[in-house]
Amino acid sequence: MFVVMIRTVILYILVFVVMRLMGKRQVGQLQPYELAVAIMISALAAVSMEDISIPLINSIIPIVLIMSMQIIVSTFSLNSKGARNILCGRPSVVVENGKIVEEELKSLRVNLNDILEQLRLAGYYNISDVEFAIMETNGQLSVIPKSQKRPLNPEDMNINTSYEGLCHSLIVDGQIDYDSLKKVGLNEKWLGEELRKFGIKDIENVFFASIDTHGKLYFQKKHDKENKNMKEGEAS
Amino acid sequence: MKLLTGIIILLVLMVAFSTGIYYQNINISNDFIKALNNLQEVIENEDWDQASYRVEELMDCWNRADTWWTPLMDHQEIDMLNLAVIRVSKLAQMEKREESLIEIATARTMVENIQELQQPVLKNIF
Repeated sequence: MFVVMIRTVILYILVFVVMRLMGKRQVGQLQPYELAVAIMISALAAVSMEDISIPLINSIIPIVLIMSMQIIVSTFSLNSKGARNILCGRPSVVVENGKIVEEELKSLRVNLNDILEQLRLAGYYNISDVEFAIMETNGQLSVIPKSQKRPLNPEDMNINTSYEGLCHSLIVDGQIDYDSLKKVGLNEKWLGEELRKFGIKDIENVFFASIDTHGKLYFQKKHDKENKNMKEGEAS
Repeated sequence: MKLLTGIIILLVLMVAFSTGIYYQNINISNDFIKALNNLQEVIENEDWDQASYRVEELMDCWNRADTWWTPLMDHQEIDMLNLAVIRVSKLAQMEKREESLIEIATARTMVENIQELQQPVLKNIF
């Protein structure tokens, strides 16, 4: 039993490291071959975990080799357009100028119902609202609606808007995020003083605090169900 | 680029490690087969005094092989070979000529199989 446990820990660490090294892509954004690689790695690890008659090295070497090849292939596809076309394929326009491209559907071996389903999932229930639909290399459908059907935005109304940047987390679960604090040009002293104005003496009592681009500080105390603590202040 | 360089170094190390392991396995199996042949020779001549020395030689070879092979090969295969070696040594000590020779032949075939399976040839790849 101990052998199984030790092997499981070793393989878990290996798979964790391999997946981290292979990149940050989400499962939904994987290319088909990347999905196959992820499945192969998990299968190789799982077999050796349960069967102690298989030497661990028989799993470790293929996993490391697959990771190496995956990184090499990714680097090639990053630097070469030709390699990218071979590995990832090209996006296919399935609706062009409001018209379904039958030849493209045939070459993709995708039926019309699948396209209609993906359009509905994208929020377009009537195909006549769609100007372009593009089947991306990861199988997802990108939809460009007709100009009269797209959502209204401030530019259409000639409304000026102010800059909206990232909201920086300053405290997460009682711990100060010093990197974010430094990035917005503030320090722990300022943060402590701001929180003291609201009667918070210990930063550890803060569950979450963030600051937006307008200098508004938002915070929530730990075990605070009412969540009324919102402060607007200037970040100097 | 750093990652790619690291990966290429890792691949080169893996190929070097695999090559080293391959030749080490060949050496170990050759020594093991030689020890089995020596034992077979003395048993065929019914030289039982000499046979006990040859058995010790064989056990030394097996201990070395076991250390190298267990982390690299199918554990069941190694267990079977271990049983065959133990049977050979006991039968030789009991001076049972025919049975010893049968077990030696079995053990030798198993070692030859291990040696053969490690060769990077098409037959083994497919």
